[in-house]
Parts: sequence; C-alpha cells; structure tokens
Amino acid sequence: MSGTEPAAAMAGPIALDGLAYGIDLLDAVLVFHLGDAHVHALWVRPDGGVRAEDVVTTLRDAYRVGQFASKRLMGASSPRAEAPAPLITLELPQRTVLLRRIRAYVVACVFDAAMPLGMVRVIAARLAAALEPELPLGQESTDAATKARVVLPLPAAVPPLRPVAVHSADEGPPHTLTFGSSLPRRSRPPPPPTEGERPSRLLAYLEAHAPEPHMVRHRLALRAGLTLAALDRPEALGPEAIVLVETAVQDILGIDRAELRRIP
Amino acid sequence: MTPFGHLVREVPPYGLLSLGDQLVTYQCHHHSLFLDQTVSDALGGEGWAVRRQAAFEASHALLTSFYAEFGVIDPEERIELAVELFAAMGHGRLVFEVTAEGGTVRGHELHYGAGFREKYGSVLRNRRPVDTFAAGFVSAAASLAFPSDWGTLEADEVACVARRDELCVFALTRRPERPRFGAVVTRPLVEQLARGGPGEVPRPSPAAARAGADLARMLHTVLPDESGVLRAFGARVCLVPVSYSNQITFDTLHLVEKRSPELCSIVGTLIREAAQTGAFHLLGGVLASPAWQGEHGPPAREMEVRLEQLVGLTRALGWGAFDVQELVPRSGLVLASHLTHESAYYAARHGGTSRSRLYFQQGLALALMYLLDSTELDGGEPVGPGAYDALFRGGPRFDALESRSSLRGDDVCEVTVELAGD
Repeated sequence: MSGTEPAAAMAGPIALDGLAYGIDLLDAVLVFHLGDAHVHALWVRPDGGVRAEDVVTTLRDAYRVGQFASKRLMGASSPRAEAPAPLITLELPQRTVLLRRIRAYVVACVFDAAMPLGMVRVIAARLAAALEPELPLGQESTDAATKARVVLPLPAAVPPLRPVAVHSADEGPPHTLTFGSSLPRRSRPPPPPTEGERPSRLLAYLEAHAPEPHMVRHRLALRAGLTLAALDRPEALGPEAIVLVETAVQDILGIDRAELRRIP
Repeated sequence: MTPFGHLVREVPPYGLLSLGDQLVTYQCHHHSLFLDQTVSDALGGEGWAVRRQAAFEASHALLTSFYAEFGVIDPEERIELAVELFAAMGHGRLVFEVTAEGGTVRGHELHYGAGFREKYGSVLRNRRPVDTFAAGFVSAAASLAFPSDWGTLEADEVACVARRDELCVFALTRRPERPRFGAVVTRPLVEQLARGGPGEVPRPSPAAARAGADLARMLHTVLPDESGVLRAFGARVCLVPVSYSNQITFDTLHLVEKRSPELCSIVGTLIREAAQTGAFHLLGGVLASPAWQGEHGPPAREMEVRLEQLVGLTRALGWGAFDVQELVPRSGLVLASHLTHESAYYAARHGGTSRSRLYFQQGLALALMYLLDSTELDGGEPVGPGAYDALFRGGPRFDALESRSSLRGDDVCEVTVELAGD
C-alpha cells in the first residue's frame, strides 16, 4: 500500500499496516463494531501475542461497561439519554490498551507496557483521527469482515516514526490480517523468531553479558525457581516459566522491561 | 586509624582469628559480593532481611564485647567506638546523625556498595541497595548507644552507590519488636568445641609456617585509608564476623531446603563459588603482589612448594589450619582440617548433620587447584577478574566432593578435588 492510491478506497480492505508502520511498541489495532463486535479492520504484530478472536468480544463488553459507568457518573437518569463515548484505558503489567469510540465502532490500540502512557494517548489519538473519515457514517452493522473493504491512505496527520520504505507497484496486495498476506511485515525490527525460541535467546544473551558467565545458568535457575535440567531444554518451557526467566534476566542484568523486550 | 591487624588474635592451633571475642575471617570483595548476591538470587527481596538480621546479630555481639571490655557506656563514646571499629575492619567510614528517636547515617566507601561499583559498575546497573552488613552494623551500634525497652533502631538503606546514588545513606527508625539473637560463634565456644573434638592438629610444614607468619605480619601492620578502606593484594579486604557469613549461608540454605529442595544443589554450588572466587583472588593476589615477591621471590613453579605456601596463607586469613593429604598434579587434591570456621559455626548453631555443609572448604580446595594448575602468578600482573574468568573458557575443570565431615561424625573435615567428568 502507499499513500497515493485514493482510487482504491472503498474497494480494498483497511490497510492498517501503513498506520502501524514504525511504531515499535504498538502490538495491535482492532476496529470493531460496538453492537455485534464484528471486526471491521485489524492489524496485529506477528510476535505480539494478541489474538483478535480471543479479545475482541471482551473488549467490546469492557467498553459497554465503561459506557454504563460513565452514564451513571454523569448523572444521566433517563435510559434514553445518549450513550457517552468515554476514552477507556486498561493498564496491565504487560500491556496498555486504549479504547476510543468512533460512531458505531471502537478503535482499540494495544501497546506494550513499556510505551509511556502519554505516548500511548498521543499515538492512539492520531490513529483514531486517521481512521475516523474511513469508518461508516451510519449505525449499520456488518456481519462479515468482507464488507470492510476500505483502503486507508497513509494520512499526512500520522507521520511514521521511521522513514517509509518505497515499495514497487507490483508488490502485491497490502498486508492486513483481515485478508492475510504473504508479505513480510515492513516495519522494523524484522519478524523475530517464534516465542518458543525466546528463552534460548535470553539465555545466550545472559551468558554473553552477565558477569561470571560460567555461573549464569545456576543464577538464572535459582532466581527463576527452575531446575538446571529445565534450562537445558529452554524451548520446552511454558509461558509461565518464560515470564519467570524474563524476570530473572531483568534482575540479573539490572535492566527494565523495555530493555528486555529489545533483546534480539 | 587503627591498623586492623592489631585488633585480631589468633586461635591456635586452628588457624582461626578472633576480634573481641568473636570469630572473624579476612574476606575480599569478590567473595563478599558473590555470597550476598547468592542470598538474593535464592530469596529475592527476603534476602535483604535475612542478611540484615545476621549482620545485626553479629555486630551486636561484637560491639557488646568491645563496650564491655573497655567499659564504654556514654552514647557518644559508643557511637565513636563503633565508627572506629567499622573503619578498622575495612568496611568504610560511617557518619552518624542519630538520637534516641532515630536519624540517618552516611556511609563512605562501604565494602559492599563501593566494591560493587568498582567490580560491576561498568557492566551492570543495580536496582537495589547492597550494604546489608553496614545496615545491620549501624542498627546494632545505634540500638546499643540508645537502648530502649521499646525495641531497636532498624536501618534501611535509602541511597546506595551500587545503585548509582552519590552516597550510601541509612535511615534509622525505632521498631517495637524485641531483637532476636541466635548463638554467636565466640572464641571461648570454639575453644570448647576443639577440646571436645578429635585428635591433634598437624603442625604446618616449615614453608607453610613461614608463609602464614609473613602474611600475618603484613596484615598486622597494614593500615586502612582515611575512608576505612583496605586495598591489598589487588582487592578490597575486610574482616567479616564468621557469624555473619555463615548465618546468611546456612539460613538461606535451610530456607531453600524447606521450600524448594530441588534447588538446594544450585544454592550449594553458588555458595561454593563465592568461596572459590574469593580464595582465588586473595591467595593468588598475595603470591602475585610485589610486597610478597619482594620477600619470597616469584611463586614456586613446583606444585608441592607452591601448595605449601598457599595452605600457610589460609592460617593468617583465619580460614583454618588445612593439611594436604594428597596432591596429584593436574588431576586433584585432598584437603583436610580438624576445625574450620564453617564447621565450628554449624556445630555451635545447628549441631551435626549428614548433609554436605562444608562449602567454604570445597571452594577453597577448588581455588587451590586452579592456582596450582591453571594460573600464572609470576607475570607481575595482579590476579584480576579477567584471569579468573579465563579459567572457565578453556582448560581443565575441577569438581569438589565432601569426603569426610566432623559434622557427621568423622574425625576431620575433608574435601576431595577431582577433574570434572566433562
């Protein structure tokens, strides 16, 4: 996709990868209908661990509850009063999620927790501003993602954080998860290895950077509460053990979570 | 400044040392930092409390013995003596601003904090304060200066140079809990243990005796600088109460045994590593130092002669009177002792056990083997961390086994070092 294809608008999918390009700590953008929670458009970082089908209904419900609470807080007594459009922020240890309503839709921006909250708000606002003109004006609900066939040109209001690479015209269709794509993601860094390789890479990094490298495995095992045998097969560690390993690596090297995420 | 060699007395013939009536050892910052770090690795945030409690108990006993010996009662004089003693032990300089209600203490060039900054500052960022020994010491000193039935003055380190703060600062506040004290390893207690123990301690060889006497003389006259820092043999050296180092060792081990027995062997390996790295740097540093070589010449190339010297040094450092039962060059050695500071501590505090507990002796035996087999000491360069890390990037690896222990009824404590299997 490029920003010079207005003719394709209304014919193709919403190509969110252009908007998400270069925002390193952005894990996902989900645009879903507030009524039936169908996904209108989405972009998910391949290694971000967000599965749209798992979260979209829950996020819709969370937004509904937020609306209800807002109504009460605003003192609206009539059930016919117009539903408010609160801006809802979910702050979790691993992620920050910002939910913003645009007419009948909600734009959910999912960030890594390392992204400062102020930046979360700024970037989410810019993404919403870019999406707003492209979303349907009415309250209609589409029951299939195939109806969401709008290509968003890269708006001038959302400058990429890194220079945009110029792609040739025969590059193929834009990369969106709505329709899938065979193209690799174009933003940096390149697609990292799978999550299963993460503990092995952390271990290698630790052995290269921690003092007394000959004792690093013992220290990691003790801090993480894992046996040495478990560390001999790091690819077999489960998600909970990986979190323990990550925390132990942070403690041993004295780094914060953002630095940990940058370990290649 | 008091030369701290003047404060210590030998406990013959066991190669142990006492300060006041407390058993102490010389320890370099490599050992101190790794041992404290192991406690944190094993216990996380709980490690601070375990170490501070041990430091409080050991310091309280130490200061009490000095105050009793010199008849010091006045709070200001007590604080003054505590400051003098802390610096004379090589732990750094303390500045107290404290009353009966509490206050603050500033620490300059503290053994742990400044040692951490010196050793790891360029490669690691530390997020937590590390001066738990100083915290326990100032807590004991302030509590003894301003005693109260309402509890003790507890110290929290609110700034630490290991965290890249400018200074180490402790905040003292009174806590209503009554202090807890365990058995302290005193000189009379060790002498009593020794009387009930087996056999006569072998006399050191002439070479070992000379090495031990010469190092004791050097340490006797060496003077910490104005900040209470003793730099010697390429390291920061200090006197550490045996009760502190062994209490943090075995309290940690016992907690892990109770909670996660599968991790016990890892804790043991790391505790042994602390002793190994400390012994390697300090013993190697002595033999490589210009002061030593000025009197003794370059370290002997013959393994047996070098080993005699090294074993003699351990007596002057308060580590114990060790006897080499067997040496097979490039293959292994057997190191025995009737009584070491760790076996004395464990026997006094916990009694006998069938489990392996002689981690210091294991680490020492391994360090001796590496100093004999894999280290050049006559190049005129101090033994630094680079030399130590290089041992494990190639060359032979050794392992240690506790073959006999007085804690399980044997007549001696014996450790066997062998080439590792792979």
